[in-house]
Amino acid sequence: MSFELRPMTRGDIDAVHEIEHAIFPTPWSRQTFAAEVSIGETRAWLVAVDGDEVVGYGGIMVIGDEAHIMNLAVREDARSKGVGATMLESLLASAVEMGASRATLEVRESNSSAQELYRRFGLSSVGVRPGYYSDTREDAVIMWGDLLARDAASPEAGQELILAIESSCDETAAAVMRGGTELLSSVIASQVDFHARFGGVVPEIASRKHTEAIVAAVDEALEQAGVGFGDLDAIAVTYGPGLVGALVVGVAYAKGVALGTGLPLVGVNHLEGHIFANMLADPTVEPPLVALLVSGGHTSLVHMPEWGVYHTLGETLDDAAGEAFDKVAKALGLGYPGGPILSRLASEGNENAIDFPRAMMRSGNYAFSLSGLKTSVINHIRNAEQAGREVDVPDLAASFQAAVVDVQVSKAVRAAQECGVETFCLAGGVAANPSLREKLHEALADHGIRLSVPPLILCTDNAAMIAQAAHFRFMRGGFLGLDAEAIPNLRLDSEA
Amino acid sequence: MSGFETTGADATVALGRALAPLVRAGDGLVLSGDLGAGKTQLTKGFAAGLEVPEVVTSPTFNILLVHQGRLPLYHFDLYRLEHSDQLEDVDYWGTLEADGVSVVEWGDRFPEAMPLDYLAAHMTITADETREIVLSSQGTRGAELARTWLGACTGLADVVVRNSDSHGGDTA
Repeated sequence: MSFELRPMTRGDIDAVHEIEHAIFPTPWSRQTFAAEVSIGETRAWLVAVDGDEVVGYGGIMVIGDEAHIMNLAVREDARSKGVGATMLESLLASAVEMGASRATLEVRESNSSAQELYRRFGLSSVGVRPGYYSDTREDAVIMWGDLLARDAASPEAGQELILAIESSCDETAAAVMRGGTELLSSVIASQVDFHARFGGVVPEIASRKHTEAIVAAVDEALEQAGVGFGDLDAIAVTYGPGLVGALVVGVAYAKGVALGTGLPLVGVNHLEGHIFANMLADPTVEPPLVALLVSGGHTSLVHMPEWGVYHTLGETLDDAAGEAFDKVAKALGLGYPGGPILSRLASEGNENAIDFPRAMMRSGNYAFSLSGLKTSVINHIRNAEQAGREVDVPDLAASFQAAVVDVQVSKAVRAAQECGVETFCLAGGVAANPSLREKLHEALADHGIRLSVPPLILCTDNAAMIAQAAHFRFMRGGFLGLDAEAIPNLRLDSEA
Repeated sequence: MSGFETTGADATVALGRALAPLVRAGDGLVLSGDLGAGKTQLTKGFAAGLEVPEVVTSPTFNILLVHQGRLPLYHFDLYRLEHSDQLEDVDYWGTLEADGVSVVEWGDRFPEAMPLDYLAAHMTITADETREIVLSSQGTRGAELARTWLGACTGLADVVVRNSDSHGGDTA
């Protein structure tokens, strides 16, 4: 049997109704079909014909970005020949053209072959409507699926062009990457001479500033890459964790671009991005691995046993490592953020001068606590001032840094051994700290574990790492709907 | 003055915990004081008292961390803000008026940041392990919270309650 598809017309209604009547216990009326076919704009109805005989039909209704599959039927004697699948493929393609990004339908619970067909097209069951079918009081299974995800699987594997956007905190950044290997551009708004080109934009926590910077950052990234929106295959964006006012700017912009271009949206976890900065710098880095994420806002040990799987082993119970550096620097009058200045002074001091506490060093778990250390340092400064002694700043900086680094290194090595990995990744802005790099490298080398540290420009917030992480999500078909929102406290472990 | 003296971080945590049963949606607590004075410790206790299940960490980096307990807890830290117009950017006032209770660390950085009705606690390091916490308030709800909190802390270990109302005002 051969068949072809064409739009349903009023002339098909008698044949359609005959099939409808033969297979459905509560068939639609001729009037309903006639009304549906005449609506036009928000509907797509088609028939499958063998010669001039109608053997199947189906229709969708598109409301906003949702396509509702209203009816799909194949005449009994024309089944198992791909008629249903071909019609569904065509209807879903029409749905995307009509602006839909998701599709939904109801199907009888007992109709397992139909459910199987829908599952093949990426729809999955999300719940039931109890007693939905009036004839038998049978439950309806409600199915939903992402249309853009299946649409995107088409570009040549590994050659997709992704625009990535990062605005989770202080930086607005954009990058373009091809196939997960070729970084075509990476723009960080605060590091570009926007003053000359765009009139002076300094990004910060303010959503207003991100809003001003994001268009310029994306334009610059596209221009440097020599591509336009029309060349892209996906838009990627950091959707958490971070500061809500900053995150929403990137997410809203990315959704806007996705809507305007019809491209799929890939959501990336910011912390996942930091780990992928390692893969970006060195493509031989791959799981299984353990990563230490240390920055102004994060201190955590993460086990990545395989691509896309993350187990957070432990996190800080109070202050992040970078925050502790910055706050101690502030207490010493070094300004804020003064972490980098503090670590420079530390290189001139004696790290054994002051015996600061190593909190949680022997706790047996992977949790960190830095607020007690911060308070010890502040007490030391206050006591010296009260006694009229001058604080030896390099010695204090070195002793403080050693207390932080010793705990991180000790837990890092234990985590790597317990997880049985041979690769360890350092990530986040504090990875720039020379003492942490050096001590970690030595301690891991003693156990035959390789340490990966990305160059500094990839350790701090950037969009290139987001593009790299997005590549792996894209290849696995992990997409966000256009109803996605920024999630300030997004967890890494919940990601699939 | 009215307020507390605590010895040890555990006592500061206990103070926060004692405040939790007294608050309702819309209440605001403004915390100020030096680095290391115990603002986050007090908030940890408060959050535990509000039945927040997760670990409450410093919100310095994120400016606002939201936790869900008996009530939503909006934990602000204005330390990194440079201008009061950034308060708008983090939806500060909208959040204060929302359905939860707000704790604002470094709330004294900007006069505009002070809510209309609030309880404020200023924390000072008096020695390595001891902290002085001085309460002040604005509005009738703030005053009520100050009064009930002082009452709720009587008898807590390592906490001395100083109540100028009942003792006729001893220190300034």
